[in-house]
Amino acid sequence: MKRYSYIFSIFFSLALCHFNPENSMAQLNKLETKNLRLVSYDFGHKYLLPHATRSFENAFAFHKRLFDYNPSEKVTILIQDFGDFGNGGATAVPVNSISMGVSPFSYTFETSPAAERIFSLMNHELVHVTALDNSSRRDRFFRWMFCGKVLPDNENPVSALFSWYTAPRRYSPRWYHEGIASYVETWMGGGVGLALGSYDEMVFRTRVLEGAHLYSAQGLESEGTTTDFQGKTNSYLYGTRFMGYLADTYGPDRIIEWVKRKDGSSASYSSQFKRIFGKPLTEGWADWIEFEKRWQNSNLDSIRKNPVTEYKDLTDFTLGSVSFPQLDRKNNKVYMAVNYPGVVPHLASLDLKTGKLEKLHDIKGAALFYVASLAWDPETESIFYTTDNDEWRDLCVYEVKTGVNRRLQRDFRTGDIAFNRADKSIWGVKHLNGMSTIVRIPQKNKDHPEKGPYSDWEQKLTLPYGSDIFDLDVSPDGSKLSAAVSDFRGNQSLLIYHTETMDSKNMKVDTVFNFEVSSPQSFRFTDDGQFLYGVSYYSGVSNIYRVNLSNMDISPMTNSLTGVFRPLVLDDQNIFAFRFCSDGFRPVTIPNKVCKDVSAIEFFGNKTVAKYPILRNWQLSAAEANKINVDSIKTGEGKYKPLQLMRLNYAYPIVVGYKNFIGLGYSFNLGDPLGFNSIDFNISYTPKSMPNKFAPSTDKTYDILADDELIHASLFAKFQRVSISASFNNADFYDLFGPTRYSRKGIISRIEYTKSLVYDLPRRLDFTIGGGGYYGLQGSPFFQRVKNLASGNEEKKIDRNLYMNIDGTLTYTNLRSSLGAVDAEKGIRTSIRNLNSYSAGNLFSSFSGVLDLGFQLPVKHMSFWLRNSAGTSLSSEYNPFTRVGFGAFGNNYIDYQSSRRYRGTYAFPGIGFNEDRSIVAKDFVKTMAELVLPPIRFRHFGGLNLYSNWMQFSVFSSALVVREPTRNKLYPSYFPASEAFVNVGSQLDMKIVLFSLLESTLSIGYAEAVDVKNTEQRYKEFMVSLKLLR
Amino acid sequence: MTNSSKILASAVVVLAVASGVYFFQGGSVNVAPEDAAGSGIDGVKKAEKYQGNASAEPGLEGADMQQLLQNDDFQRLMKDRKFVELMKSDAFIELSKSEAFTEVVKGDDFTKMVSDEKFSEVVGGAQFSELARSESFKSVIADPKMVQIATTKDFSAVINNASFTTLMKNAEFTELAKSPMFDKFIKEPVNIELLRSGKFDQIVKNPSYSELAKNPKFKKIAKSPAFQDLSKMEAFTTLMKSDGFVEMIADEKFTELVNDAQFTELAKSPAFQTLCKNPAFVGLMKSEEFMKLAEDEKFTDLISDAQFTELAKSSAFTEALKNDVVMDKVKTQSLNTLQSTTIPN
Repeated sequence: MKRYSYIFSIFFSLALCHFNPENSMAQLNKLETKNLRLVSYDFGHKYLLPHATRSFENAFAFHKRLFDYNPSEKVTILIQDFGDFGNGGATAVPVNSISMGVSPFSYTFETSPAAERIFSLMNHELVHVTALDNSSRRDRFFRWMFCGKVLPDNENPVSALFSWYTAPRRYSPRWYHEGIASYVETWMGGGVGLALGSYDEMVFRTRVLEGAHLYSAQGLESEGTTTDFQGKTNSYLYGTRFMGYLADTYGPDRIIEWVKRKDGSSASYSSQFKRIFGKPLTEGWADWIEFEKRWQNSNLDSIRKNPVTEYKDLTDFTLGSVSFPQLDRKNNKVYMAVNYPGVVPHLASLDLKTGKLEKLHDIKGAALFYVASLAWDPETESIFYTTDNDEWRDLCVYEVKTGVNRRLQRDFRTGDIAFNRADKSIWGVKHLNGMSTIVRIPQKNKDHPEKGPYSDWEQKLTLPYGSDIFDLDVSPDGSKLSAAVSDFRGNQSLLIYHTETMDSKNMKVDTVFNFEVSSPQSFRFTDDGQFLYGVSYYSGVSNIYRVNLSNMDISPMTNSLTGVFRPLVLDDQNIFAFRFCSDGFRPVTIPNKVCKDVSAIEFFGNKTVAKYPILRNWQLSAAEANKINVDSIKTGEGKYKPLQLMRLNYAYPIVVGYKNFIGLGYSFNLGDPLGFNSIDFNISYTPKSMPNKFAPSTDKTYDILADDELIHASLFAKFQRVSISASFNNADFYDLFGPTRYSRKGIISRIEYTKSLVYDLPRRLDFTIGGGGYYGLQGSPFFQRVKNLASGNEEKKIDRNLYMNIDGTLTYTNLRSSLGAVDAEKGIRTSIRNLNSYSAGNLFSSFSGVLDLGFQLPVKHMSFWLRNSAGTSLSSEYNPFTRVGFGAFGNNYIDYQSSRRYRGTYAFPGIGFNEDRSIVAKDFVKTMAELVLPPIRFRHFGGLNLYSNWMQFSVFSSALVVREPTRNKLYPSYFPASEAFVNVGSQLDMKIVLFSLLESTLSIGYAEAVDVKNTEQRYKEFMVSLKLLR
Repeated sequence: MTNSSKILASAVVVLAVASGVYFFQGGSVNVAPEDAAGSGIDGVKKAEKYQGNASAEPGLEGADMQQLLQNDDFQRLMKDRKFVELMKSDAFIELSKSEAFTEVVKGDDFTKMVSDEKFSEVVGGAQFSELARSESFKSVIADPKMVQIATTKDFSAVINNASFTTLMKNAEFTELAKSPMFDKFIKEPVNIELLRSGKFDQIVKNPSYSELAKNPKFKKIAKSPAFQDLSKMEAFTTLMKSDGFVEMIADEKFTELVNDAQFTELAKSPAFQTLCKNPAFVGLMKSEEFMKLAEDEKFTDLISDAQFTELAKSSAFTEALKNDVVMDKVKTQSLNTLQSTTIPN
């Protein structure tokens, strides 16, 4: 007892002495009202907090009325500026929380029309919280029973069932949640939102025109949000549209009734649909698809009333999402950033004569839709572009002639860049603290020329909050800057700034035209500076418009059926542009001539609001919100201290396996509302009277359960960068099935600290240092096969009852994948680890390293990997601390760890755990070649609540060379100095989804292995495994 | 030690908050339908979209601070390690709490001075940066007595007097001032007292003076027109009576300093002179808090940094010092919250 107390005390003292979890949280502030806990960390966001509080209270009161919502607890909202574009995320399990980005929204293609962003985000995200937290009597009973809303844990998969009982509506597809949120948000904003979105109309109009597939409810989740170039945006598009259809056909109150979770409602969203609408959801969805075809055909007929613009395709393929193109007249090429399924996003060049597309350079952190912001210097033939487009953008340059690429500024948070040919500066829009600022990046850094060109920036104009600016261009003579500017109401205008006046009190700005809510986009000066060409959804369809700068006359240049974007004038006869297709944007040329007449389309939302004026009453009054006195509703203010705010989130019963016995117990989860700190604690009991007859181990020692092995406990605590784990006779759910066993007799404790030395996603370099103490273990804590090694003299050098480890690992990853990938497709992953074990006064050290290199092949989503590892023990002693074991795929029949365990350093498929042969080594080198084939996506394989998304096949072959000199020296006849093995195998993985969110993977594998030095010794292994939950 | 170096010290403070030649005006964009250049686009049927009632402007608090936070100079300032270290130093924090400091930095005189182009030219120049890095400068500004003299109008008059400048530039005077003989003379308490009292006739009776008087260089200087003019100057004679002035002019470091062209330019600057007459500024220079700051290595390191000098020219810096919120952050040692931060990953 004393010894393990000693061990525990060492490690917990270390934990307590060497960090103070509150220190790094010292800058988190909170403001509380009865319903809200608003958390912020940056002084620069302070100006928004009262407005955020008022917007919350206003929206919250509305949702409580509309959805008949009784909140179970406060909502905790984190105001953050983690990315250059606004976004939000919400959950109610286990706690009600929202993360809200303050940056301006992206206006690209009008994919997210919105009024003032805090107002819009609050309206939207609170719909999610309401839909998830609202409860029936049954839900409340189970929340009481489990002490809260249960979050599923893959280590205890029964938690999924309890999660369902405490928050059933969480288990609905994304389109359902985003659909209702976007729909309600639109009307709360007075008609500004996706329910009246021009882009939405265009997507469905185009699919109907082209006869393209319109996803079913289930197909949307399995294929539509993964392989389509629009990715998860499809959930918003389809969801909002479907909600709109239901509202129009049955009335807005019916969709509210569908989403409302109250007494008497069905737990399942699909059952509730049937209850409210009187038909299965699949039927309702099919009805909507038919309606959508009729609606869009009617709009297409409207457009066709006037001559439709002819276009000439430059390629026979579409490009997915595209940036604004840059014209290289000298080489007759167009440069752009592209992002389409199957290929990592990259800079590309399109030959205007041949239509050939050439890849130039990968883009790190490409955005959906706009990909990256580009500018072009024709003189040096350099493409300036942004990376990390969803985070804090960097400025980079790619020289077309030499292929040299370099970063100019890191985290400069600026995009919408435009090149000023007059002085070779770059202009752009910086997003910081929720504000938009026009900045100028001079070519020369006059103060620090040693930092190189474009390494500095100057503030030129900061717009007031609520006004955003985008799509800049600079006239050829540098005297004018054109831009689209929006105000807090969502009105957008095309403006021209006179650049020389920008530093003075008498800044000159011309308003070309107020497009109201029809966003002016991509307006660019012609080479002679006489015109601006751009697009707008003014008629409801994105068409090209030309502005004559001498008299500000605007002329339409196209009447398009789908939509055209990002025009570039090639010459007097032709305009280069992109036309919208079902699978993305396709480069075309269009005649450069004025259109006579352009028809308008109808917006579906208009029809609904005319039919149901109640939707007008959903609009929230910002004026009323402004009357809310924050000081009078404030209940507290101060620092957000995660430790103080930790509480029990939930607790539920568990079932575990320990050796060949079954146990029952309980699991507890504690944490603070934002999840900075968490503690998971499990306790269980395995009576001797409950043997596990499902999948007992063949190891006879597993049939023996000592008196001191009946109780089991484990703890895992995380405090930001530090994690602490401890267990006593560790038991594990998956040991019920085997063959890999995780349960161990004895005491294990570990403390670990991880720090990111480089955090520049997808690149990261992490350093982890940890230490563990072990007492009374049977066998190695790491390697199932390495147990009971050492005998005789070797025994004196180790103490099986008490030993400690200290280890350090450095890991670097830079892995990339394309849209629609299910795994990384290229890149590098490497690590080096040092492990030191201390026992009976002896220290045993070892090193191991991994180097994985991946290459994307010309076939979509196909990749080739070389996976290498090596290791050595510095000790010639033969004991569990100095030796490692290899074998098997490593998957359990029912598992929770990675499904592709064959890639692990110590896996060796072919030689299973049940084979007589064991591979134990002091030193080793292993290499694997793996070919990963493209996944097969299923459009419809299963039903709404249980279906499969995809299936993927991989083949591999590895070679392993091991050395064991010690045993060889002692018993040369029995133990060779070195051995070599080769295997060949394959694995098929299939993703299965239960209740929309509970993803599992079914894996089937087969491998054969051979001892190279004794080829008669051949082995086979067949593996089946179901990995539960993510 | 040398008191006139306090002019420099005060100049250094001013240097540290150098002139703003860059002013920024934020724009305000209100886009309303009536701003449209025309009521529609010819040939294009406008799609009707429902629009609800016009929304009210969001009520914000302290948004004007954003103009400062968005400024490139300010952003650089917040990333300048030396600046941040100085702002966090005990000495500066104490200074920032003094009423004199607040009054000075918010005052018009201060703003005018830092806006003065000439002043900016001087303190922003590479030569001045070099001066600020020199040992003579460092030791001078660490002298607490300097300010008392340097802020008097007499000193200003003397320092700007051509004769004084000539004398200070005189190589023989410089050499004499360095000589042990002169050092002995000038440090004798009886001589100091006599000089202060203006009893020059009694000085000549002093043996140490006799020795000095025999020195050919001394003779030459005493006869020189510059010295003659100076000795007739009321301000000079008044200064001679000031505590520390005599020692100051005898100090070779002071001599070096006043021989520096940048320094004399600075001292001549009308804006600087105006500020020197400001009672609040004078009070600040005399304050214990400032003295302590001037002795702080972080302060001298920073002001001699060329990059900082450049940054300090910007209005962002002066605005920052005037801004209550920023100074509150300094006083409460929470300056780092003005920097953009991220939650640890």
